[in-house]
Amino acid sequence: MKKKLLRTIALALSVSMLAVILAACGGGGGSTPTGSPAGGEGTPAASGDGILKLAVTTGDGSSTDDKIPTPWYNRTFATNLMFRSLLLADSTLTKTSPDLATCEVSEDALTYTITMKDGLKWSDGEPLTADDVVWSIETAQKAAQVNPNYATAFSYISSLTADGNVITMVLNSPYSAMMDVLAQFAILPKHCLENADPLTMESDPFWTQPVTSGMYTVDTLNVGNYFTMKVNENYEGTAPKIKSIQVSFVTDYVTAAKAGNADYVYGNDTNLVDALNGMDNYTGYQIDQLFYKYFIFNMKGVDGKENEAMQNVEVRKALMEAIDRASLAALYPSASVLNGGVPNTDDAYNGFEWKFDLEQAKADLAASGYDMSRPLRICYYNNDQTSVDLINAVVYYLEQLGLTVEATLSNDGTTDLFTTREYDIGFKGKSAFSMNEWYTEYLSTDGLFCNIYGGDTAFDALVADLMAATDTESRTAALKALQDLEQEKVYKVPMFIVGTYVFVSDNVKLPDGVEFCNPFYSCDLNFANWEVA
Amino acid sequence: MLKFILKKLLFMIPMLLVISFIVYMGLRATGVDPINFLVSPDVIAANPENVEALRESLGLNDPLIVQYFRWLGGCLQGDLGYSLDGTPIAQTIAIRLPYTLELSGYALLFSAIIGIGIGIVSAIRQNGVIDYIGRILAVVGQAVPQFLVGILLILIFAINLGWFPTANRVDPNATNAFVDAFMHLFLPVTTLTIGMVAVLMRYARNTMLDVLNSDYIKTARSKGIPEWKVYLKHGFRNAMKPVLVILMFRIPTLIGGSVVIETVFSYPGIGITMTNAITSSDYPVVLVTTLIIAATMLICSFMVDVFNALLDPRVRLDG
Repeated sequence: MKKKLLRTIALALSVSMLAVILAACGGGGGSTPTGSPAGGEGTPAASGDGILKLAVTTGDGSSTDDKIPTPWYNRTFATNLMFRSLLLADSTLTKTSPDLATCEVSEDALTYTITMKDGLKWSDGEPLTADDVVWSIETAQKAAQVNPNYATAFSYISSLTADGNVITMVLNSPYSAMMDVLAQFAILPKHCLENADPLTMESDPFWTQPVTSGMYTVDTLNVGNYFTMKVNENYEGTAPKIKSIQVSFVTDYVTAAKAGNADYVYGNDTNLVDALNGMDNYTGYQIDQLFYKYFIFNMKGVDGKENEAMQNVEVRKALMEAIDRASLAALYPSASVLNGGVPNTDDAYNGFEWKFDLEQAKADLAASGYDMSRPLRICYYNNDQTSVDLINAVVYYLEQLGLTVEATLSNDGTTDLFTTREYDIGFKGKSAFSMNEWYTEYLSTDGLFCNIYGGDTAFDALVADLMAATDTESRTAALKALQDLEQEKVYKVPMFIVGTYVFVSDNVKLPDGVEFCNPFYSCDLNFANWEVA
Repeated sequence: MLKFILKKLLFMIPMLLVISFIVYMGLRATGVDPINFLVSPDVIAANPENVEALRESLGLNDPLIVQYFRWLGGCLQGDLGYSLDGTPIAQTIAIRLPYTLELSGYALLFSAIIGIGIGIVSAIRQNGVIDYIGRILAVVGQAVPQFLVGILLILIFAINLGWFPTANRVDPNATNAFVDAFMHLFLPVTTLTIGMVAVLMRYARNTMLDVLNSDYIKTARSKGIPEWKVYLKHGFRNAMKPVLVILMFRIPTLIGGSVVIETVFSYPGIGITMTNAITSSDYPVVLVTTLIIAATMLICSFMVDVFNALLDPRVRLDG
């Protein structure tokens, strides 16, 4: 009797555990029609109440959940709707149109005349003036946490003056990307922030209830949970059709999307892209962006300390020849193999190709006299599964050369290289605004990389040429010369660029012709005409 | 007794100082430069002068011991300092701690009621149906990691069934604060409770069984005292002393241990704050949150000592 009872209990428990597991794994995407109560993995569908739902992730350390994300480092979708720039970029981020101002450039590309639009106001009703612009740029020059593209661009300014609604900006030398930068740099209200310390601007209480210039302003902030946005009544442009936006602080975009808390999600992580692609009620948009994945050789610092084993360029070349980029690129949802800082599809690509040839690599390594008994040390800092898989594959490729390879997950893949000199190669990622950003890492004056390339000045003049190149011909020439040099020096070697995906839920009706851009930047998305079911 | 309490209280001060010193030096001895997490490498590369000014303004160029005593001096004056991103830590704690106390408080309450309840019934009805179910659930509850339970609950009840929210503590559209709290707390509290019920259930069952097999219970029965009175008055009361000690020591582990659950549920408490601070090497926040957990542990330990001393005078004499 007792045995029978025990069996019955065991059976009941097994059945209930199985039911729990099945329920947890259930609701697979694709099998259920969209819009039904169990509509694929995407249900419950986001919104449905005329409110656009967004999510800000705090898990990656890029945002905190106690204030509104600030716009001077990365721009997020929510901050783009609150803070405007002087100009508005298109989806390529390279063509601009007027936003807060119009801008004219002198023939010598040294003088920018910026004329502010009439009738501009901050959300608190104060006028938005040329003084705000001058103050914002001057403050960004003193700030610590500011996008390096702004810091580089503004370092070219020799004078900045305002006269009425006209601002005159004079540069020391031409800077080709200045207009693109002006289309990203958010203007902030001087009357609210002029007493804040530029070094710690991001922690100013202003960011809990910021005064904004865009079509929305903050309604409420609930620390750790969400903030809501309402239409800015002082916005002089077309009023948006969506009247309210909710932004939740979350640790994971996929869960937020599955729970219906995010109408807009972006990312390039394989797991995220696969999960969102599997949801019936989201549409994905692939965006080509300059997200470089690359290796960097730990050479020497300006202090003279060097990594002896990596000094021979033939060793560096042999190591790179042993890695099959094309196979590794397949690990990412959308990756294009690279041979230099210029994508292969760009007109400025110099045609060089890193060929995967294991036998040649072995021969080259043997000829270089490299000590094969010495372990090769790689450091990487991305701990997502795709990066870990990639590093494991790279270790495998290099072991085929007969090397002993050690790969270490590090806190920071850049400073660790020159802090310890224990690593030979670092694996890094860089979401670049333009190709210029890739090449500025070679500058001997670069605050970090001078410690890795030993402050080599070989690139300086060519990078200066690129920065100053305001026409296509000179830009192409500068890029080709830089590719030749980087392929000769082999200080850093790109593997591929990784595309990003933006996913928008079916609750959102996009106007015709919307083209998404790199989600870390701002561009014209015709948001005023977005609608939510 | 007063002398005993004072002695225990005074002993907590050097303990906290030692813990704070070890944690502070331990965090800084990792060799990780906090500025690398506050400012991204490309900013350091493009903007080294401003970043150096920031380092100076944060006092990171001073010797470690100077930094420690500056922080300690601030704490003694009620200033917990600032996180590396400039937010006052006291403000962060004031907002986050109540959320965590709410979460762990409910988990403690429910796990105590359910765990002790089932444990006692299991002991009284040893080898009965409830005992078997209880023992199996206790093993499962202890064996399955909490984060997995949390993810399963989210998948089933939040995503597939849509009954509960997946994240946060407050809904912007909430009309009723009680319903909103219930909806947001149900899954994380359930997750924490499941793990704790398992421990308490096993402990309560075993101590109750020990007590029920003791001589004074047999004596009580032989006196003809009704069975329910034997269980409640003689058995339950005596069995609860060690269970309460276990319960008391669960409080700090609940506060510290909610780190995983808060992360899984994006719950804005101390746990997720600590996780984010560790990720971003925000050592002032890690230090304060660690000290809060350590202080809670010391207070609970103190309360257990006092509790034991009240029940057993020998403890007071020994102490």
